Amino acid sequence: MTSILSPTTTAALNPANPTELRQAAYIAQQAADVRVNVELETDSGMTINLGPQHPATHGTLRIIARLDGEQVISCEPSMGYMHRGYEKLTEVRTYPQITTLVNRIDWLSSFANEVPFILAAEQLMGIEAPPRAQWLRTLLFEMARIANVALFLGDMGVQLGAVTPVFYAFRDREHVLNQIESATGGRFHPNYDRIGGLKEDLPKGWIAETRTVIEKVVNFCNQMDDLLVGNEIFGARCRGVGVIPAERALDYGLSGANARASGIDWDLRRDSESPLVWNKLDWKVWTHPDGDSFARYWVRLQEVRESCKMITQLLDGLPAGPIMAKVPRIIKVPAGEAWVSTENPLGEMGYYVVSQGGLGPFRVKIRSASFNNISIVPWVTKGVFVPDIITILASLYFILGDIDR
Amino acid sequence: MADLATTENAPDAACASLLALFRAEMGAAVVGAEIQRHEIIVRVHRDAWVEAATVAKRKLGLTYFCFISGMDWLDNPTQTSRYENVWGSVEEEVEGTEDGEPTAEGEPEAAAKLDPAPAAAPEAEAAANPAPASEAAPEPDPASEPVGFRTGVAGGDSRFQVMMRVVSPTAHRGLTIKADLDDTDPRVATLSGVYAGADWHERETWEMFGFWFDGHPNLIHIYLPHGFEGYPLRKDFPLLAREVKPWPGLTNVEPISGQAEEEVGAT
Repeated sequence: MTSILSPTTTAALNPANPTELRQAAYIAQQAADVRVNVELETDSGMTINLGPQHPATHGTLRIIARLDGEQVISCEPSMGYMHRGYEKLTEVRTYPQITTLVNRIDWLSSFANEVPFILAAEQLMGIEAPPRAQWLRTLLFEMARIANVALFLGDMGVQLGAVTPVFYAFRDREHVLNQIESATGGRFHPNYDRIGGLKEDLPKGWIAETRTVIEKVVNFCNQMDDLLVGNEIFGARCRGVGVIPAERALDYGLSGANARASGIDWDLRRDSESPLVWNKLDWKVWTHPDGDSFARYWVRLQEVRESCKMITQLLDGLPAGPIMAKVPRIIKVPAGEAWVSTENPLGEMGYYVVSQGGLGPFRVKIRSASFNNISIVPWVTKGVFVPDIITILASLYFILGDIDR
Repeated sequence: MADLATTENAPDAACASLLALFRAEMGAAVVGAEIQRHEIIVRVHRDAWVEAATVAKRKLGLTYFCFISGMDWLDNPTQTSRYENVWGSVEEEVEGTEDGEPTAEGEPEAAAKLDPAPAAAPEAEAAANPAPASEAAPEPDPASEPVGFRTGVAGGDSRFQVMMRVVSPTAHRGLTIKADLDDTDPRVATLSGVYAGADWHERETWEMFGFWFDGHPNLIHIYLPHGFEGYPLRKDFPLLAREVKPWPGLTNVEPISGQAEEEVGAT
């Protein structure tokens, strides 16, 4: 029988890190108390399987982890349970029909998926939506971000055993979804963006209602600050867990809040030439130097606050005018290639659209954020303890539709 | 807020200098290059694929790995990109399916036999407004056309291309690199030693396009079940749903009487 704290695993421990030593001591104590897991300590270790229906997977992701005691030797995500072949399906659809598909990639912030695709098509056609449409796009983009990230802020608590925050999250997210619904007609899948503008203008009274909703979201952020960020247990579960250095993050293509939590000061809303109006607003890109699970949570919390600030400014400055440019009734896109990416709630989402003329694209490469974000899991989970897998998965924050496309 | 002139001009200069640096490092391996709308697209020789990535990462500071994917430039008549206009495409399809049959002479009959209900409406439309019909007539029959390909930006000599995109997180400039691959044996060296994130993207590209990445540590299926046959994103891979039934979405659009479709709303 080999000890759980075999020479190899103890050698891997860092004596300067008290958390690690504490965890190791805890495991040794557990093993001394209960000798029942001896038969599982084979040479090849033990294999546990998370999912495909584990709540930590936000869908149907399967994680196969090989363990040595409680430490992870290797951890391999297995995807494809929800692969819908959107890249192939785009090839047999016309441009206006594709927004229906891309809505369903990251289903928590559907409107944000439509925007880069529409922008790519507009770029190829050489048309630009009128200012009011661009402002409304930005507005709904940020509301989609709140609808998405607010759920994360509560859900992260659930994954770590704090059930209360998610009820607050669902409650306040509902208000945002109601606003999205009253403007677009769809709670989850708005299908509101059109080549050259938007489907229709805002309903009466929407702006005033949205202001009250934003107040609620700001309150919600403060509540999360009190409930989780200041919570000692939450800190103990998150701080120092799943540390991703900046170079590693870039190497794996991590984007969005995951990259900013590793100290990379890069936000496509600020740093790319977008026809959307983020550059006209006063807001701040938050970064965190730690790169751990706590940093990822904290950065996202600040981002929701920034989104609230942006929405208030967007509501104040919303220009009047048409919401649709002059576009041909039948959309034909000239031959060419365009790459457009935006800062979606999950990270960089981009479309490489190849057109050869005609009614539909020749090929669309969908670069979704979660695929890259989750590809670091085998690296970052190496050597962590089993409960930390959940923390890391929760803090990396992915949507299965965004991985599998 | 910067004024429009500087935001329009400055990025292009940055793109040009980045491209010049890349060319200086890569030399003759750069086969084609193009700058369009603040985006650089270069094509390198496939033997210099890894070198291009290494240069981009270590010398040019493009440390952020965005994606790797493939392109199949083969022409596929069932794609919507081949459809020039909605009504013409529908008629084209009817003719296309009837062409191989010996009973192709009676065109109205054949159309009526195939699809009796909507046949009346296009007939009446064609009588009232001959424009769509005359447009459809000179359209070459897709079945008789030779199978070929035309490649995109930065050119290409082969049917298959592999492409990657890497970005500088500090200068906020991206570079799209393409490489031509062999038509029968598409094969290129792996980038997983340069960008760790390339691992999964190469697995995806391998299973979707059938490109082999030499030296890849773990080239197995990522989305599709193990033992899946065929490469779904190749243009000659049939989409079963379309084989069984033509896409009804294309016939949803009704032409406005008295106006040619494309000109409506355009100025």
